[in-house]
Amino acid sequence: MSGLIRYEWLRLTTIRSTWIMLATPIVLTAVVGWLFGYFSDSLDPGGDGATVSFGLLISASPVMTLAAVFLSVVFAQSIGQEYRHGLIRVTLTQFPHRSRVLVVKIVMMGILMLVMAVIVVAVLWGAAIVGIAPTGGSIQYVAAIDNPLIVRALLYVLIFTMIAFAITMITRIIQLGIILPIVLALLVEPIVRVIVLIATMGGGGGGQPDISSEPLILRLLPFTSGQSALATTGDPWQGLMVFAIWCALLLIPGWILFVRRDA
Amino acid sequence: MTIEAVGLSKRYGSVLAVDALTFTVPRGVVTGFLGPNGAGKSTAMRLMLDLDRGEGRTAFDGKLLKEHRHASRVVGAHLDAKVFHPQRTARNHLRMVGSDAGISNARVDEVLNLVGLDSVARKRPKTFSLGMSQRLALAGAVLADPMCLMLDEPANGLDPQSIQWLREFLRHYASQGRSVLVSSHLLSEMQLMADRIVVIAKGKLITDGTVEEFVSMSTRNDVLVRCDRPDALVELLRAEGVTAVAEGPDGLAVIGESTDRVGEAAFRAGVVVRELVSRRASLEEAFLELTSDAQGFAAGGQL
Repeated sequence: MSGLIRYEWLRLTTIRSTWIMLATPIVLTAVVGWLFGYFSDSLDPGGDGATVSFGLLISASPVMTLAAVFLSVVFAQSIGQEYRHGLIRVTLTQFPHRSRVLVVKIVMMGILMLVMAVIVVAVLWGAAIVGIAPTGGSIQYVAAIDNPLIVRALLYVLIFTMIAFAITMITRIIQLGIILPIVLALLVEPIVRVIVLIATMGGGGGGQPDISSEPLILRLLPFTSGQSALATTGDPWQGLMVFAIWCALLLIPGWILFVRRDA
Repeated sequence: MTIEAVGLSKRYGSVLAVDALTFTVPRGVVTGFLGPNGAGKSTAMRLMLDLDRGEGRTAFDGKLLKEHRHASRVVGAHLDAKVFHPQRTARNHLRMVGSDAGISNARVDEVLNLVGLDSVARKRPKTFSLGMSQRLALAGAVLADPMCLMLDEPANGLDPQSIQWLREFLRHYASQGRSVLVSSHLLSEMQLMADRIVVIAKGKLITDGTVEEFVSMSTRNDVLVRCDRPDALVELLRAEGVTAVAEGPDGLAVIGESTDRVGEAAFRAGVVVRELVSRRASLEEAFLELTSDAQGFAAGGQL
């Protein structure tokens, strides 16, 4: 198993694109965090004017989704590049136990995704503090609200990136693994949501959706559910659960195909 | 270490690409793996390594590859030249490939030097020629000093000097008691390189034996006799049930007989023999003859 871990680590760290994809969300988070801090007055008009809750920053800013998108490239590449460049045959000749290969990939990449998500949250916090400082404001951290929100945010990133991995594993096409979640999350599902809400004469609010009171079909959309995990109202854990179930539904056939298909 | 492939079969839809293939790759010799295009050589190699899902079993010293503790110490495979990430340097590629066996960086450098890629070790292989890519793939296969080598068309894209080097390298590798299975279309090269051959066509085994045994199956093995009265000789030979075909104004090609027998027949026929020579088919001639009905993808256009 140690050889497989070393193999995966070298595969990951010896190409430039990995580092670019890991650094990009950190840089973007720093910029977005600073902007949110700097323009905090307009962000939190109902507050005391100078104090912004950290939870709102995670919930209302796009950083977690942005991070998930970039990190999903790294996760998807972990299997997609193997097929794209034929390395899968080298890998499976050296490590013929296919399920072990997958376990190591998923565990190592999962840990990396969580570590990166923690870094993104930390950078968001730091950048927001730096951004808000000139305005004389401050970032408020309410442990009872923000601790579970951060946990959900980390899990959201992990599940999002794992979905990209699972799609790549099923299709063996790295571009699909990367693009399909983005298209679904940012284009298809918002359109479906608007259509359904119009049809049911409801109203879609801004920010992260509170889907707990919405029609069942909206509560079952994977990425809408996932994004609801970043909300501070409703039942965000339920959304996260739906997101995780979608991930499992993709991961299981991906796993079976990986083990049974020709390399 | 001996490789034993038993009952390998693989079907793509209605096409049976590999059909109950059974053969052995013994230790200590280079075994050539021959077959026309589409014969199923590459598929068979992938089946042997459990990369493709099919039927059959391949044992490496009696055990499946996955039953060995370090597969990379058992078999080194080179199935395709362009198997690397174009952005990962050649050295890092080999460091990664050597992970299972815990290969040191010094060994990586040694192998890069062995295949003549030391000067481009830190270059990204996206600009490598086919020959350089073949060398990198070969380096990956031999990196962990495995007991078996399985190489699919390793000589493609190599210049004559490199092919000669490859031949000597593989023969030396096998002479250390290891098993080497090499597929190639370069039959003249294979005749020099391989001690044994496994020939397949349309997924089925044609022969599994020495090059000599295979060549002896060809009808192109004959005896040429040139004499003053070929008509008299051919009459006598045909009376004895021997096949003889006229060749030139005074020659006969006698099939399936030794020079001794033909010489004795000429003596009995009372002809003056001017030339008597045994002719052996080349591996290429034997291959073309014995697989002529089994071309998976034959060129049929008229030039």
